[in-house]
Amino acid sequence: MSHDHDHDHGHHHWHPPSDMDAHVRALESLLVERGLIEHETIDAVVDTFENDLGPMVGARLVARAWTDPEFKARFIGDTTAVVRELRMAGAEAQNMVALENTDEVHNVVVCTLCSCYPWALLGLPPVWYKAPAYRSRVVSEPRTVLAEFGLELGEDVEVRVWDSSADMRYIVVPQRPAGTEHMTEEELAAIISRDSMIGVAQVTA
Amino acid sequence: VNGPHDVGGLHGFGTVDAEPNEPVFHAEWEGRMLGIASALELNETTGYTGDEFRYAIERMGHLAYHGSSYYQRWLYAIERILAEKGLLDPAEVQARAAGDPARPPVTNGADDSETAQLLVDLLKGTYPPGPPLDPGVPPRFAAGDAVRARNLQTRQHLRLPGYAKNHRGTIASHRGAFAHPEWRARHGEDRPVHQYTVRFEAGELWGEHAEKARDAVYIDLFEDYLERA
Repeated sequence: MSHDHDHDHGHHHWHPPSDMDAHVRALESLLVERGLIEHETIDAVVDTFENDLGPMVGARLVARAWTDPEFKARFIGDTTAVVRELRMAGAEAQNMVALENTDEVHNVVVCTLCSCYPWALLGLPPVWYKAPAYRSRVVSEPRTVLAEFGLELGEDVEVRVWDSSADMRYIVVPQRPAGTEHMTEEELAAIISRDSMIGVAQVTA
Repeated sequence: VNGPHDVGGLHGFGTVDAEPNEPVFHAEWEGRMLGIASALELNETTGYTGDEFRYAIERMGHLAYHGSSYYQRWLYAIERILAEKGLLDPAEVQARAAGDPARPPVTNGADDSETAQLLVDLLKGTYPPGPPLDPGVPPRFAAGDAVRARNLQTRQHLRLPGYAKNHRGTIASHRGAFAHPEWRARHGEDRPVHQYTVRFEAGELWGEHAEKARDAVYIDLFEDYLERA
């Protein structure tokens, strides 16, 4: 790097601070001192994402769709109305579309431009969902990416990749596995994984 | 802006690295960063739109973007927004960080703060969102219409992925009207524009290198990103 570059503080030469922990503590304390935010609010946000919002919220909806045909029809037909009625249209989930996987169509969700994801229904996205490897590849080679996740799809299945790059957020309703006919809604919710609701996995009994 | 964020279809980022039993946050500062950004978004003085936030990240430069983790990019965006609003100089943060500031006090969160409780309710969706926006004009396209994504090479905030530009697709559905991203990024205000989900076939997007020509990518696009084909 040239001498000039060392003295260029322009945006294109930004580097993350070497001690992120101290830096974010400094930012928090300055903003609190100026009365712009409260420690309480930050604690509440962390607590909400660590304890209350996560894939279990979406899994309960999918389990209900599996066991209640009328609910399933409404959930897939007008997902936004259903999640608003249930008071679940929270963070990044105000406008929702549920996509049903079938023997003919497999849906998988991505956001190539950032990391759009229905936080209120699935929690915060995993690192791989936010990373360029997944975002760059799943639109152009979805079958290869899905195979790396352990999901091999036949030529007779149509793969639909949903690049959720605007206001709509997507949740996949995976196929209900055979042999689960005896299971209750609650038991079903426990086997519905986050990855199956993104569309990179199937549910196994 | 043709920035570092627009990665769809690029090669060279390696394989997908999925971590088993991944924690919600990988370090304490990640959770604090998310909380700070959420609290600032809600505050009247510091409020910003998601589009201002994304536009800040899109302009951070390719090397900085790919040299930073997700929440490091959040730090960059928040410091840039606060600096542009004249509320905080990043140099002040740096100076204080050098003194190894104390950990924040442990609080009772939403139990002790109405603001914190309001934010939790918004995150969980306890308050259903307001009515849909009205663009004042009927939608120009309907399901089944053949369209082409315009070749927009703007430096403004654009939610049209580069890999779809100039390609033909079909309107799959009209999604209603939403605040236009460029307007929200530039002015922080809502200007409602019709939005559609458009189906692009893999063969159209990726040519002979498509895995299967009749697979498809569905993209949510604003009306002004599209023209009749």
